[in-house]
Amino acid sequence: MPADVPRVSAWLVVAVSALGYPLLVLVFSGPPAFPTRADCVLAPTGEGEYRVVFGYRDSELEALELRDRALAVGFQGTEISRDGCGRVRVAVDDIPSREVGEEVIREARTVDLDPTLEQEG
Amino acid sequence: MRGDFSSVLDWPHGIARLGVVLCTVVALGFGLVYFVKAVDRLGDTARTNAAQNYDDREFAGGNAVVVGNRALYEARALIPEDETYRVIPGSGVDGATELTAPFIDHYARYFLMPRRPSPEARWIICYGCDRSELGDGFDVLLEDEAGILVGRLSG
Amino acid sequence: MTVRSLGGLVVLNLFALAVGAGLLWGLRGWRSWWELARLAGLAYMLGIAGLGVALTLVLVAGIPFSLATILLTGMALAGAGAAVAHRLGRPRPVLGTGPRRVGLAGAALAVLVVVYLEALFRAARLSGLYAFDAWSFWVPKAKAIYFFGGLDEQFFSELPNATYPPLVPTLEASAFHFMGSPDVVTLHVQFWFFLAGFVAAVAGLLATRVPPVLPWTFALLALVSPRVVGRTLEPQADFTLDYLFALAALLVVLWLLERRPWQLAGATLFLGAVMLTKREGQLLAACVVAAALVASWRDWRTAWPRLGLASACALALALPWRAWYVSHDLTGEFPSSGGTGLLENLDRAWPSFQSVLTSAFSTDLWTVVLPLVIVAVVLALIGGARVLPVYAMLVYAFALAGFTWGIWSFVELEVPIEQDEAINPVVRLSASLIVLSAALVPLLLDAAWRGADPPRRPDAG
Repeated sequence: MPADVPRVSAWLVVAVSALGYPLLVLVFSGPPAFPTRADCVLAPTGEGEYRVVFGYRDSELEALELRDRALAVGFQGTEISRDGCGRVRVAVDDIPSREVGEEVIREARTVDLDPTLEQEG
Repeated sequence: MRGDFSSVLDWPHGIARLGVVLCTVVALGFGLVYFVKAVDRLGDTARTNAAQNYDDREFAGGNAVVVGNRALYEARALIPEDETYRVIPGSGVDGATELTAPFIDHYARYFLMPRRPSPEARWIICYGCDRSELGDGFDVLLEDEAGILVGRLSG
Repeated sequence: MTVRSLGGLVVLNLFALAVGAGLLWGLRGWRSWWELARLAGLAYMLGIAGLGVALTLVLVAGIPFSLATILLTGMALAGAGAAVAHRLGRPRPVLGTGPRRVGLAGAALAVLVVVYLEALFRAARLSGLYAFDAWSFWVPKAKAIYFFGGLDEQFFSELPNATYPPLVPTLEASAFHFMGSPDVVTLHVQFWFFLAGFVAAVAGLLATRVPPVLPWTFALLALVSPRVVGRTLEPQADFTLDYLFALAALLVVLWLLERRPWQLAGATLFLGAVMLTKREGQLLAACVVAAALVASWRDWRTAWPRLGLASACALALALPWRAWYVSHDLTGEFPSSGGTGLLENLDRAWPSFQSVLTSAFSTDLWTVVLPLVIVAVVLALIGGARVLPVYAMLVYAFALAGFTWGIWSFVELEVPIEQDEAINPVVRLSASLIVLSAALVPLLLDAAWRGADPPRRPDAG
């Protein structure tokens, strides 16, 4: 094999080979992640229990106010917890099914609360 | 770098060229071995970083200093950006490390920017301090499991 | 962490490349666009150094720091380069005949370096801020510049190491502006850009001077050193200092050999940036200049005035920062026992030297880089080269002596001197010599092979 290959071919070798590593990573590790706070919001998937989330707040003080509102209108078991993404979640956990969760949400909307249904992590 | 190999031991040029070849071969050998180690290590680092949750990635090195992240997150949410605060460390924090007391104010300064630290601030993060020294006018807005207080002097 | 942050960082670094291309156009121009492609790394690093220095001066002058300031400063630098080029009548470049031949071995090694950089990028992208000094003062200084638009008096006097120059925090603050937020996670990618730019700069400068196997081999060896793998992405000034120092040293030695004015001018900018990056940058800059003076003693009448002028210009770039912190009553730039205090601590001399050598020759940190540097210098001397190996030997010797002085005068570090990095800065100091090797060893080995100092190449860039 000649010591020098045509100049463009050698650079093509570099370019093509350099693509090999990212392609391998894509194949074995999947696409790259771009974490955001929304990653801690788990959309309902149908597996396991659900939670009805009344909202997210930056401070526990504000979250407690929302919790107290929810408790005052009868949503027993409403608690606050840190979501792992720097925010405080106000929610009722351990909802056994999507239907129950959606019923809770319908009731909450009648008293000016606007919760959403999420999967428990 | 085509060489005349029959004169490889000639002094000085043959020896110099032989030395260049040996030097390059040694460098290549070590480079290749450590290349494999490096890519492996960097892959592990990337996987570890990707697997972290948002909070841990945000606190990172601070996890060796703080006791839980509730207090500083709450302080960041409550203290307006144009107000000052002070951190009063002490020994009364469950779960403190040897880095907590000496460096919690440093870490808080980094984490809470652009809020400014001030010795006269009414916002206080009591990180194991003696509560009695805060006086009756101190409103506690958060007290976590480790006994860390976030609050504000009234008036 | 977001796509927006990453995109903003890419834009910043493309901007730095454009600024640097303007500076390069003024300094030397280029005959073809392929030549610019080869020198893109150098252009980028000139842009980083130019922006770092200029924005530091902007801060010292009290001009509000904002995205507009960054853009206007960069445009002014590029414009100045273009104006100089116009005045010198540089011809328009042609397309050129294509990239230089690289050979199969060179291509294979280049692939390894590229794959390494790709792996490093993956590690950088989602890295939290772990380094103590990074969250203790480097990033807070950057945040202060970002949030308050200048050298905030409170933060810059209360944060540790108040006299440390602000070039890196300034660049970090620029990154925050382009990212749209103080995203300290994505900030690690900026330090990836610095490393990639350095590698490209050295590869580009050496491509016309040595066979491709040499620069790629020794770049790879430096990059895969365990210490580089573990620490090069930290948002601190250590490795940034080393890249700027190595480029300054490389350009100075190229000037000693080829006497192209642009090389000394480029080195001047890098020397100024070195002095504005960390306190030890002054020591490293002095080592480069002193080595160059000695290595050029044979034609001191032409060389020494030029080196003196370059040094004076570099110093002039660094002085405003000094004036700022002196006027703000900030102290601590030099160790308190660094002068006559050395005589009172003679028992520290040998242990300090041992500490420096232990760190510099540690295979756990640097594999076999420094032993190969010594072999390369000796081979170049055996081969008949003189200026290059004498210069290289002196840069390393002066630096080792300077590091010894630093440890010797750091009396808080008691004898027996521990190598623990938490208390002993010697590991950080010795990194500069390892990074430098990627630039100098290929030249030394090539000189050893050809049996003389590298020739002047009229067409070399």
